[in-house]
Amino acid sequence: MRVEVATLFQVHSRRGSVVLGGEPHVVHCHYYNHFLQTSLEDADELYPVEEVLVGTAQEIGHSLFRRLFAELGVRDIGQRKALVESVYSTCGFGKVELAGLNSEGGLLATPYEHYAYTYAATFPPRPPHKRGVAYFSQGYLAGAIEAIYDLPLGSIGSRQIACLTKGDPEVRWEFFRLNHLLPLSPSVGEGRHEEAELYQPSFTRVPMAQIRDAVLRLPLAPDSETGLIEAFGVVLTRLPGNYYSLISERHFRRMLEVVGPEIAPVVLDMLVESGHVCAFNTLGGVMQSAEWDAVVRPYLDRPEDWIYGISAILPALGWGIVQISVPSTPALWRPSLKNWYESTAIRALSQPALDHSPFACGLFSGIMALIYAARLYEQRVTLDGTLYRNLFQEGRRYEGIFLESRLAGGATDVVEVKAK
Amino acid sequence: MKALIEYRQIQICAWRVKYLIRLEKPLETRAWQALADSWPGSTLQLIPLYEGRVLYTLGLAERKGTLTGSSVSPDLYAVLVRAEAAQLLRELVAKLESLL
Repeated sequence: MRVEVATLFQVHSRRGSVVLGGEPHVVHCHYYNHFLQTSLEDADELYPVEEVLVGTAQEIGHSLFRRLFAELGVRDIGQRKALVESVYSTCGFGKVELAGLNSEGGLLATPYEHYAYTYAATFPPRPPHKRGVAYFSQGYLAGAIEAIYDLPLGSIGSRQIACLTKGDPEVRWEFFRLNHLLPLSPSVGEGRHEEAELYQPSFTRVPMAQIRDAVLRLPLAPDSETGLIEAFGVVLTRLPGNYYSLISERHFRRMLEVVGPEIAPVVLDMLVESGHVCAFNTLGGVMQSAEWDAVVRPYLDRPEDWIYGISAILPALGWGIVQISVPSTPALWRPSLKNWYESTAIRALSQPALDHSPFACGLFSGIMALIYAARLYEQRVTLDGTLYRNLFQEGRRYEGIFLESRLAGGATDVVEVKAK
Repeated sequence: MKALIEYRQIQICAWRVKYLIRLEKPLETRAWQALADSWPGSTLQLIPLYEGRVLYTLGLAERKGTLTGSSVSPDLYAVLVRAEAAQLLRELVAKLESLL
């Protein structure tokens, strides 16, 4: 049985989500992936961050593939392995071959893994005392192995034993059966999702639904040799959104437990910063691309239209629906978010520590900074460290706060972005 | 008026450099095809969008980079492998100038 994985993604227009194996998948770039992961890693002396980074991925990998195998009626071990390999590369995680694994685990090696490959190409080598960076793949594949062999969640342990970021020629992991179960929980799947129509504002001719649908049809295909997705000038992944949401929530909770409530502003600011990184690199790359020029730019009459145009793209990235019912200005933007992926995932947990999505605060203020402070609407800019520091580090130009949050009992998510 | 207005770097990403190449008007399909024909091992992909618009992606051989553009914009984007970016950009610009 050969399955074209790209055709298995289910687009839910009224949720702004793209789902595979019951897991909403979201598009992000390697800059965001590394910023978030490295920020968590910085806390490794305070608590074992591997438990969060690997354990969360393992939960998701296990739930996703159990569901996908059941949906497709795949029972044969070889076919299950082929499906995992195909999903892995279709999502831009890289290339793996699982033939050498069995129900006891085994060794897995690849020269192409998203986190390791892009880190090695971007940053200096990691110091010897640090482990490799392929946490997500480690957990995701451990969960996949459990699903392939119908093992319970948490029955496979794992270790990364080589990494491109440490001078090794490949990434290598070891997987092994445990004589106890790791304390993991099944993924929250589609979480406490909500639905809405993408609102078409009357004050712009930017065709929101048309843009969303055009972007959904764009091929975000991996390179056939590397399994990496290069687009818009960055390297993309289609990662289960619950991974980002839950590692953020769990990191915040762990830090509160270990350090105390005084650490909250520090962690929240780091998550806000992750939104800036994402807006700058991914969305900045999108707004300076041939795809943007063809699909969106013909409708951009005024600077505000850039806000509406980039908002129309977000549902196609699987992030949820951005509703704009009041015109934005250079000083103020107040988008309402429907089924924002971070809120939807975290809201499915009992008593979450986060009461809003700090990533959204950073993302939407980052969009405003790019458009108004960098004047993207009238000039092409160089997306480099100098511009990033100018927009986000030498005094932030915009600040986002939640006026209403589903994570704090509100009916919806409303962000207010104001010029500072 | 020059057919090729300017080219400049707009992003550096891992092993790639992204350049903006501004033309006077959008490249037509036959110019894209000619560009592909002049670059051994390259592959041209045409992606139809709505209202007759077309997105063009020229993939250079040996994953050295891509050139993207559309039927509605005079702007092209070259994302080139960092180690050879300057040389590849020069070749690309020379080929474009010979076509325009």
